Amino acid sequence: MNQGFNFKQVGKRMPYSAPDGLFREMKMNVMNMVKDEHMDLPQKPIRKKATRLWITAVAVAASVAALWIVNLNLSTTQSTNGIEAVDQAFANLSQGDQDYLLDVYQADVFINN
Amino acid sequence: MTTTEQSLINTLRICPEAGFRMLMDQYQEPIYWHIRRLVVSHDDAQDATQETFVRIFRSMGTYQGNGSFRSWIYRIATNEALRCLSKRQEETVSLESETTGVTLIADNSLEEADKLAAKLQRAILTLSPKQQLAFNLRYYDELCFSEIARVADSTPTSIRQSYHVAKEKIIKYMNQND
Repeated sequence: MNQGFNFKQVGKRMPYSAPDGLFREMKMNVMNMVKDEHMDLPQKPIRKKATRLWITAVAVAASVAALWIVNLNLSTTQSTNGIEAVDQAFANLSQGDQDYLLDVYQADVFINN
Repeated sequence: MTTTEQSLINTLRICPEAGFRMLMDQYQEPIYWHIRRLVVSHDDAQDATQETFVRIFRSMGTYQGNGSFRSWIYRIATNEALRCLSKRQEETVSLESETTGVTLIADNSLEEADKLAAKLQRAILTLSPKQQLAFNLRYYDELCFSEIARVADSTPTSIRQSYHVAKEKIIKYMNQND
C-alpha cells in the first residue's frame, strides 16, 4: 500500500481554533449552572467479592496462628514454672520427709501406671 | 487509577467545590476538543462541553472507582456529543451508526495555512462514529485501548480493530483525495 501520507506531517494540529477566553467563560457558565446544587461525593471503590474473601481468610489465619503461638508460649512457661516449684518444695523438706515421700509413692498404683 | 486522579478524587471528597474547579481546570480543554472533533461546530462543542461538566457534577456520586476517572469523564462527554449530533440531525446518532453526518465545511474559522490538517479532519469525518472515537481518543488524547473500550462500552480488541481500520482508511483518503 502506498504509504505516502505520514501522520507526523500533521501531528495533533487542528485546522480551527477556540475563541479567546473560551475556557474561562465555560467554567463560569458551569459554576453558575450548579451553584445552587449539592454534589454527591464519589463512592469509595467496592472491593471485588473474591478479594474480600481472600483478605478475610488471611486475617482469620493470621489470628489463629497468633493465638496458637501465644497459647504455646503460655503452656510452656506454666509447665516449666510448675516443675521448678515442686522441685524447690521437695528440696526444702528434711531428709526424713523426703525418704518418707519416696517410700510412699514408689509403689503408688496411680503414679506408676 | 493514576496518582493524579486519586489526588483529584480525594480533593473532591474533602472539598467538593475546590475539587470540581480543579476537575474543570484539568479536563475542560481536552474535553472541548474531543467533542469538537466529533461535532465540528464550535457553538455545539461549547454547549455540549458545558453540559458534560454539569452532568459530571450531578452524577459524581455514581462514580464507583472502578476503572479510570478519565474514561468515566470521556464517556459522559462522548454521550453528550452524540446527543448533540442526534438533536442536530433529528435522528439518533450512536456509536453503532454508519456515519455522524458531519462534514467539514470551509468557512472563516478554517486556518487557510493548514489545509493538510483540514484534510485530515475531513478524512476522520468519513469514518463511522466508533472508528472516529477509537482513532481520536488514541491519536489525540493518547488513551489506551482499555480506557477507550470503557468509554465506548466495548472491548479492547474491538477498539484496537476499529483504530487500525480507521488509520488505514485515513491514509487511503489522504493519498487519494486533493
